[in-house]
This record gives sequence, structure tokens and C-alpha cells, in this order.
Amino acid sequence: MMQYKFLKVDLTTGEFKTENIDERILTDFIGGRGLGNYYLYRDLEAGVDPLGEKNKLLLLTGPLAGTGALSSSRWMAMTKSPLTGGFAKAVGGADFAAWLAWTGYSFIEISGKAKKPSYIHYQDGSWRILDAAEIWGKEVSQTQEILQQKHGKDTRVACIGPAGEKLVRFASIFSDRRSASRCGVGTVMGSKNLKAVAINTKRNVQLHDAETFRKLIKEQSAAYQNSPGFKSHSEWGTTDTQRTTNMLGIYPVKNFRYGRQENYESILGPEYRKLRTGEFGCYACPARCGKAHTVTSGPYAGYKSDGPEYESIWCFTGPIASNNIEASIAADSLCDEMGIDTITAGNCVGFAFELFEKGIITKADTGGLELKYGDHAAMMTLLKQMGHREGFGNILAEGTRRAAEIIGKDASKYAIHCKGMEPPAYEPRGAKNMGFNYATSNVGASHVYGYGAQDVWGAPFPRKVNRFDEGNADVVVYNQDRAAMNEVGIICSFSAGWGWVPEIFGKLLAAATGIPQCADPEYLAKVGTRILNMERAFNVREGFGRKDDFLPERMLKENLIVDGVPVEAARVRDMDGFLDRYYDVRGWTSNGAPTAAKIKELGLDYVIK
Amino acid sequence: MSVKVLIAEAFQSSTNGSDSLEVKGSTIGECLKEAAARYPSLGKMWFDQEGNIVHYIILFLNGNNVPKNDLNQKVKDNDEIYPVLMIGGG
Repeated sequence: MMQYKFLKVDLTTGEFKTENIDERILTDFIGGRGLGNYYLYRDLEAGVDPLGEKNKLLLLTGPLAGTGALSSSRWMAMTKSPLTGGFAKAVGGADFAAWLAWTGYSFIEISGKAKKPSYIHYQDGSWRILDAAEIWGKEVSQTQEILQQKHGKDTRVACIGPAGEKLVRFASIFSDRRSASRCGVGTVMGSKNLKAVAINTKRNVQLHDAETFRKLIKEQSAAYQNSPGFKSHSEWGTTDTQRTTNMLGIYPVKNFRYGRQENYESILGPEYRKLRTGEFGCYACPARCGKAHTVTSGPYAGYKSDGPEYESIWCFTGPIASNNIEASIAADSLCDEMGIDTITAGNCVGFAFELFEKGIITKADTGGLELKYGDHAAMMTLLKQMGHREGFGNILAEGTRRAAEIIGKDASKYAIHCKGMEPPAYEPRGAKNMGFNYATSNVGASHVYGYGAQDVWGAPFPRKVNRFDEGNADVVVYNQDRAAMNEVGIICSFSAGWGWVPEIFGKLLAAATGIPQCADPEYLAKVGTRILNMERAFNVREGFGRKDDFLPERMLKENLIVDGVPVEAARVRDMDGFLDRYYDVRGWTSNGAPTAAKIKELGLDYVIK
Repeated sequence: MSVKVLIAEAFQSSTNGSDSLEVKGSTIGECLKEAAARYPSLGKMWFDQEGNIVHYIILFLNGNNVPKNDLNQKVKDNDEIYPVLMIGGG
């Protein structure tokens, strides 16, 4: 078995320490999200302030990072969330995972708080904490440019923008043109006075069985060539997913009241393609699914974005019922440069627009800004305010749950979130397996936590379901555990459908790590289940329980409306009944906690006391 | 020879709500074109003007991806063809 280690960085004392990873931990958790869960649970006390010195931030890679395995060099930020107060993880792409892996460390565990704005730097075998005065306050692109000019063009950077510095609760961590967006992972970084991690290193790959590994990459590549999903994703990324969701009536409009955008044909992929100016991708991934766009005319002329992807397309169209493609590109660019999560940002805008419509807030609250549906200029103003904590945006910068508490009156009724994190672009009433995933996810409303492919495109595995049916707890569990299994790699979730997961994936892990059990799909699946139980145990330790596994009241009390027609089947009818079934499948108590028997069954009794 | 074409929900408005069709054909292409001939609005959603599968459809045969969405792939009695809308959102 290969030997792995991680780096502990204490920003308060400036110390760096290396800790070797025990074989038992490696075998049980493999890498990536698995290892991160073990160490975060072990090293983080319960009850810490997410924005305090005692919180820890892990930047993780998986054992396939930087090895040349395709679509397997994703990185993950893991911490305690300032949005939810619970477990947080967010995944990013580009090159950073490869560079971090080449330092010889599987991950970095960051604790404490630097006395002044700082960044962590690695080059020629040395780690240092350096003064970030030159880059503090700089936007995301400029931060990376400055660090590359200073340390060499082969430097790869993970950084926050001004929003993270100002502790906007949903700040993201960016690297190159990709981001670990959700849960406020960038906010935690900002709370530590940490602006960036900059790594300049050469390729350094250590494998248990290099020859087998090379053969498996060829098999993986052949699978991609035959996969229509790979071809489609390479051509379009996710810029046409709004076609599917609008056809199904699950494209959330006006703060999750309606399921289809009027004239949605004008915001489909081919329309965005007219403004496409480039393509890019992650390390060792041939898909190059990132699609850059440039606005060449109109009020947003000059804005260039490395998106928008599907979620960001939705964020800046659905919540305010605008079909202005140029505005969505400009908004995406703005959010990326300030360094905020577009999903929460778009939701905050939608929330504000509904409050204005209902008279709960007025121009007196918004500093004279009128929030009328379709007004994308007002949306841009709100986004800028949020990212810089100015004006009314300073309240929205807290996320919808806290913003509603600050605003008072009836505002909480219109704050759409699960556990404090806002949902992505799939209406939960019309895609119940996706929706129940939002409710039970340990990070809040996240589609990637357990993507309801059965709802969205009719995936026939583990079985076909009716997307309005509330009886598919086993399917929700399946989706969540599979997502966790993939993030042991850490592989791209889109690639998992391209003909190589789990068989080739497992064999690659075995060849990389020397852990033969990885090649057994059932073993890997169990690691996924183990991860879900670790994350639930983390939240239970923080005081979470059944009361927190909820969908917003709107989903339970109001019908989804599509083309003016209420969809009776869509309203969530029995949230409690679903939770009972879900906990039963999971082997948890009626309060949503892993039982002692389940902990023992998963071999976690030495971890969760 | 009888082959089943499964109709994803997004397309069922074109088949009067039917979630599957029994068709005849020796290749995937023949089977889908028979379905499209029966329900022309289905054909408009599945094929472009040159008769190729549109970019946002991925084909499954008996639960497995059809390599390269190949319409010439042969089918046999009781096979199930499943054209689905492109997935992925993030």
C-alpha cells in the first residue's frame, strides 16, 4: 500500500506539521471526501464558531489527482459552514488538485487565524506563510495574475475574492476559472485572514502499480469515445439543461413559485452558443466542458464570463423572470470576480424581489432601488451590493435565512432554504427525489449531494420512478451514497455517466493506492455509505436532528404552478412519512441519527464515539 | 420482430401520455423513425433536418448507453430503446 500524509498549517503560530495517514484510515476512507470526513470529525471540536479561529478548513485531493486518470483531478474544501452551522463541502476543478497532489500531500488542514492578511505558498519543497497585503482587496482574476507574476507562471492558486474577505456568508474559493462554490467555504478562508494558497511545483506522480494504471487509463479513454454523454457534455457543458427542466416544468421561477419560464426557448443552449468565445476544462479531462461567453453589445458589452453553467444561467434568469442572456453572463462574471456562490446569490435576489412585490420591503429599505420582475439592472445592483456588503446587499450577504430574521415581519416565509442553504435549479415539488435529497442532505440544499437523475431524465437505475411519488427513499439514499463514493477519487460527477464508474474507477483506485478492495464495486459503495454516516454524525454532534431535515413551507403548503396551472401532484404531501422511510433505509433513529448498530456495521465504532 | 421504445416523460405529451411504444425495425434508427412516423411531433424533438439524432438526446439500449448514439446499431426482439434528454446541471 502507498504511504500518504497530510499537512497541518496553524495560521496563528505559523507552524507547519506533517502527519502520516494510518493504513486503517486509508483502507476505510480511501481518499478525498472520505479522508476529509475522518480528519475533520477527529480534529474539529463540536460547537465552534464557523467564523472563529477554532474552525478548520481542509483543502483535499484524492489519490487519482494529478496521475493522468481522466476527469479525476477535482479538489474539495471541507469545513464547518457559516451558512448552516453544519458540515460543509464544496468541490472545485481546473489544475489545483494536481498541483496540490504533486507536493506529496493528500490534503492541507488549516487552523487558527493569521494576524494579518496572508497567503500560503509552496515551492521547491518549502511551505511558507507570506504577507497578502498586495492581493488583499483584489478580485479573483487579478489575485491569481499577481501571484503568478510573483511566483512563476507554473503557480496554481486557490483564492478568495473581496466577498470572502468581507465575510459574505456564501463566499467561494476559486482556482483558475473554476470554484468550490457552496456552503460559505470561502467565508471560512476569509475569516482566517487567508487570501490564497499558491503552489508552484513539478509533476510528481507516485503509484502503487504504474503499468496497470496506464492500461486502465486507456480503457477509460475508450469508454469516453463510445459515450454519447461524453460527446454531448464536451459540446455543450451544461448550457442546455434548462431545456430539460423547462420541458418538465421544474425550472424554478420567481422564488420557487412557478416551474417554467415564459418564452424559455430564448434562453436555451443554442442562444448562449452565439456568444461563446472559448472552451476550457480541468486537468487531464478531455471534455473541456467549460464554455466562456462574451457580451459584445448593449449595456453589458465587455463582460466576459467563464460561464454561465446551467445553475448560473438559472440564477440570473429564473428568480427574476428575465430572459436577458447578456445580463446572465454579466452577473456570472461579476459574482466570480467578487468571489460568491451564484446559487445562493441568485436565490437571495429572488427572495428580495418577492419581498418587494409583497410590500415587506420597500424602496426605503433598498435605498431607492425598485425590484420589479424582469429588471436585470436592479439584479446587478443587488449582486454588487451583496458582494461588497453595501446598502441592502449587506443584509442579503447573510443568506436568506439570516436576512429574513433581520428583516422580520413575514420574511421568513419567503426564505427558501434547507438548513440555511438555498436550493439549486431543480424545483423540488416536481422532482421529489431531488427535493428529498435537499431536505436530508447534510450540507443543506445541494443537487450534487444526491442528484435525482431519475426525476430529471428518467435514469433507470437503481430503478425508474415517478418523479411526483414520495415513496422512493431507497433511491435518494442510492444517489447520495454514489455521489459520496465518487468523491473519494475525487472524480467529476458528470464523468460518472461515461462508462467507467464503478468498475474502471475502482481498479484505478486500487492500482494507485495499493488497496485491493477498491476494485470491488460493493466495497466502494460501502465507503460511500460510510461517508454519509460520518457527515450525519458530524451534524448530530452539532445538534442537528429530524427538525432540520425539512423542505421550505412553500413546498408543503403551495402548489407548483406551471403555465398558469397548479400541479396538484407536485405539492409535498407527507414529509414526515418520507423521513420515516429514509431513516429506516439508512438504519438511523427516528430523530435522524446513526444508531450504534449502524455505526458498528460500517466499522465506524472506532471513529464515532 | 417487436421492439419497445420507452418514452421519457418530457416526450409523453407527444404520444398522448403513452410511456412506451411497440415498434418494428432491425436497427435503432428504424425503430425510432417508426415511432416518429406514428407521432410526428416526437420526430421533431428527436431528429434534426438531416435525420440525425439531435444533440440533446442520449440513447440507451436495454439500460446501456448506445456507443456514439449509433442509429445503425442492430436490435433484436424484445429490446428496449430509451431516448433521454441530456442530463447534467451544475
